[in-house]
Amino acid sequence: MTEQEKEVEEPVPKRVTISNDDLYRRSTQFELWSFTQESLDKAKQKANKTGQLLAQERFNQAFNKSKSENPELFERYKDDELNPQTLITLLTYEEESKFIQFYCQNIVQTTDYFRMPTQVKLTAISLFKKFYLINSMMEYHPKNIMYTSVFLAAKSENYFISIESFVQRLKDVKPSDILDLEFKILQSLKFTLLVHHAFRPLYGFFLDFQAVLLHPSPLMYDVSVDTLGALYDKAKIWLNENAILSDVAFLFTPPQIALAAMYDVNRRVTDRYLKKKFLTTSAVHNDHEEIGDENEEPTNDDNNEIDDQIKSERNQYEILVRTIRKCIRISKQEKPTSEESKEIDKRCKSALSPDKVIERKIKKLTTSP
Amino acid sequence: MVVQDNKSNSYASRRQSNIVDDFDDRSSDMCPICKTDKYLSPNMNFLINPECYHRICESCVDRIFSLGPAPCPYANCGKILRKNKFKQQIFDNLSIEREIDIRKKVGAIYNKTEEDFSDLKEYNKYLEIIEDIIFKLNNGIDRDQTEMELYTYEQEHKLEILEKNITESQKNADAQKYKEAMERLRQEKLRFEREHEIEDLEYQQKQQQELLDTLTNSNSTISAEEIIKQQQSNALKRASLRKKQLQQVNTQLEQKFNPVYQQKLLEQQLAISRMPFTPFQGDRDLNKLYKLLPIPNEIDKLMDIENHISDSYNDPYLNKLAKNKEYLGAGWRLTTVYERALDEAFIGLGCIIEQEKRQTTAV
Amino acid sequence: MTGSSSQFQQLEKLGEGTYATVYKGRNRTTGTLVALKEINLDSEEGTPSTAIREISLMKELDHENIVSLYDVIHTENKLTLVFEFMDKDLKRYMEVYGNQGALDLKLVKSFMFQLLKGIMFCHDNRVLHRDLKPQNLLINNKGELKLGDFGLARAFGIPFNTFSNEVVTLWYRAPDVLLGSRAYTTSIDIWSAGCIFAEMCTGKPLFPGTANDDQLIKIFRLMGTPNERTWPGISQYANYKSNWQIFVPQDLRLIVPNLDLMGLNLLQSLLQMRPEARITARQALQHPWFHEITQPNSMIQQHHLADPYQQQVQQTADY
Repeated sequence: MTEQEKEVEEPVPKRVTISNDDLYRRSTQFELWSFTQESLDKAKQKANKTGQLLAQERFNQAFNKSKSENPELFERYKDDELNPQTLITLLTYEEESKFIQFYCQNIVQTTDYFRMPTQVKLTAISLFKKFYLINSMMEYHPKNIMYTSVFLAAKSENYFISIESFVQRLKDVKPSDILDLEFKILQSLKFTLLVHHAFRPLYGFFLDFQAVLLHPSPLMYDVSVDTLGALYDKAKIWLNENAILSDVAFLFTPPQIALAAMYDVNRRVTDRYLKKKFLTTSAVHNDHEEIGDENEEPTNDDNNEIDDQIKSERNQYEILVRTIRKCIRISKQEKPTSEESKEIDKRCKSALSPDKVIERKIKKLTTSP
Repeated sequence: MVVQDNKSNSYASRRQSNIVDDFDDRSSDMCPICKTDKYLSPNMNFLINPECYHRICESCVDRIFSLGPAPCPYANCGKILRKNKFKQQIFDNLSIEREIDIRKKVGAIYNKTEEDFSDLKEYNKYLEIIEDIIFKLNNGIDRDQTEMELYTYEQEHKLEILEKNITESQKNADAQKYKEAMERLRQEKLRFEREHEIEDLEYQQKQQQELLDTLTNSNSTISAEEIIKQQQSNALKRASLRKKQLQQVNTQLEQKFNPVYQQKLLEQQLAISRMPFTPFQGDRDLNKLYKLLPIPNEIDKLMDIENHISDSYNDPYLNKLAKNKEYLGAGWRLTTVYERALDEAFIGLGCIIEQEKRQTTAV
Repeated sequence: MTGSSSQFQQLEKLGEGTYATVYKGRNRTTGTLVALKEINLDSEEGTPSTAIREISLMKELDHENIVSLYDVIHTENKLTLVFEFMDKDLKRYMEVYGNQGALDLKLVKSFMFQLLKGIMFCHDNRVLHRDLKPQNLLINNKGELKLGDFGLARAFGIPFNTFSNEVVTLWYRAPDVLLGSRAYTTSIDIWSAGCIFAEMCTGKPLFPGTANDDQLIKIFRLMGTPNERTWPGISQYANYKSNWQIFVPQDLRLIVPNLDLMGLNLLQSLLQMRPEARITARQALQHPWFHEITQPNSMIQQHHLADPYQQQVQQTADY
């Protein structure tokens, strides 16, 4: 409120233009949940480190307790089997990241099973991934976090499902498992549950492709409304198979991801659209393009302005295409296999319950001849 | 000493004979008609009638005039008074009261204001005319003639007067007056029409009479058919002329005072003021990054949508929904959907996160 | 983000709703006044979805005409939302400062402008408020009006969502919703704004109905009874009756005699029976009635209506 008083003293402030992009910049998605690749990795590492510390602590406690109960055993095997270094299981941040990615598929299965709308599925995945940017699997096992994410997403996206009917159809889950975690997740997410996904911009582009490529008359001989419709459907599938399981939601904006889908499904059509859409001045002043590069004597100011405009358009277009291509690359990165994931899951459980690991080891050592 | 008769001015004789001066002594507070004293009935109110300004107490007015107009009970007056014209005296001095009433009356007829005149001189001339009239009426100079002139002026300028009344009351945002003015306007229009009708009827009758006369008069050189034809064409001409006149008057009045028309004017103004103004004084960039194709919006087009989208967006799923009467009734329109979708496609397209988030630290 | 409950000193109770109680509070360290909205946690379903909606939406809506959410505190059995403190709600304000509830037209103009700005911002960010009424419009001692209580608010998408009917307190509910529409749009907030506009001018609610059908009749009495011809599609509604009493539309001047012609035009544009005929918030802000606020002149500096978008951009720039 004091800013207002300050404003009155200062001279009339310069008018700043708020563009559509600025609107996006003011969302919590941009403010809190958009990263460079570097900062994303850093965040994961930080979460992982916290998890490792906790796991270490947990392990030490369990180890020391067991040691005090079985001093001779521990003394005997202190260099090999019961060596704390070898006994402990910790996950690296890459392992966590892989496992999270794999686990998202379970979310898809769950939401499909309950016939929940796409929005719920997408938001649940988003909440799940965001949770693990703050916390580690070595503190919270993904299974219940996943179910709670779905439950929260259903609430936030106005698809109410009661905890009873939800839990009834799940294996080994009771209501308290979910309800106890609810607030933890909300807290980690800083209560930012409104997520912007790529599907709506994709639909918007489906419409704009029509406008640009078909009206007033078709620009490409083999592109009709049906072609575009098919392209749109394929792009949706592309998003489901590639984008939503990857990290692109943190690195790119929803419209960029949508265009990435279109681009990868049909590069020729999408590129034609982009050129027609964004290289407008160049299209008009096609002849000037040649002259533009080597400008010895500018004939008049108009030409200069147009050249600048052409240059800046070209620049924007190229940045956009580069961004899209990068997005495609990251979306299609290799997903972890189920074997890999099973392995990581095992290790995760070990990190979460070191006491059980130690017990098993002791049992093995005491029963074997 | 000469014996004074009933018409003397002695108090006693006045009391006897019901004769009162125009300037009755108010301090006596006695109604000269019923002789009720203010002392005896303190709630007694006096009313006066602008016809003759004779003070009569409220109960007497009730008693004497409730059944209809009656002559003023003051002797030597005898003017026919009506109950509804009675009002409370505002000013102690009756002459002022009289003048105020005259002013009001004249002012209602000569109701132009300064802005109706091209320059001050004209306005002052107008004011002079008014003062002249008021002076004459107040002091009884050429009273009848002045009243006549006033009356004719009113008749001639009836429309203008009503117009002015309406604009004035609009300015004062006096809804009640406005309504009344509109009513009066409507009545005027009706009266016009009725007058015309009567005239037409008379004319018709005259025509018929003429026809009969000519027919019976064997000396006439013109044949019956010709006369009839003539009459018919005359009647037609007259009718069309009348119609035109009526229409003109009607449209004139309606144009100026019909609220619907004014609404349309307002809308035009609003439409003009739509772009490029924004409530935040121009800093919201309303430049859409897309061009919106025409989208059918009327119900009849939407029900047959497949045939109206050759130059528009085509989404088979939505085309079906567009016809749903329930959604249509709820105000759901294709335009809203398409516009929103297109807006969303471009919100954030130009945000290059990799660049923009370079400086800021991670979560 | 979450603070502890001891951070705030609880002062008097401000109000009570169906799912929350609001107290006045003070931040112990900074001394600022806050409003503490305490929500009882339904141990069966966890955090109420209304609370979740309210919080997540308010986090996205950072605007000077929308009340700010500072913090969320979680204790064992309740959730406390910490809002910026606003002195009164509009209803209370009208009782205290109005002439039998009716406010001065200049004030009405200022409040309507701020209300419409808040609504416009919500709609721009694809949020329907769905519960606009004088009790949910908060006013501070600077004369700023802010939208509060987003408990019923909803993010809306495309092509459309099927919404519930039980939205907006009855008196401010749009006729299409009363008729059973589940596909309503941003226009329902606009209808509420119109009702609030009239109420500020007269001091009395415009359509104080007692039940769904009574509410409809009261609306028809003023706006005229609709039929298939005047409102195509109306006969499809669940609550449509063909035997409604026929009322002729009345002149709005009868209701708000002190409102000038321009203001009446705006009111009329807000209170259209057909949802698609209702003006949008953006258009309403451009209405000539607001020209004395929106046309740039020296009066602007005195007004507290400094440009919100600008303010925010400046803030982030400084950040």
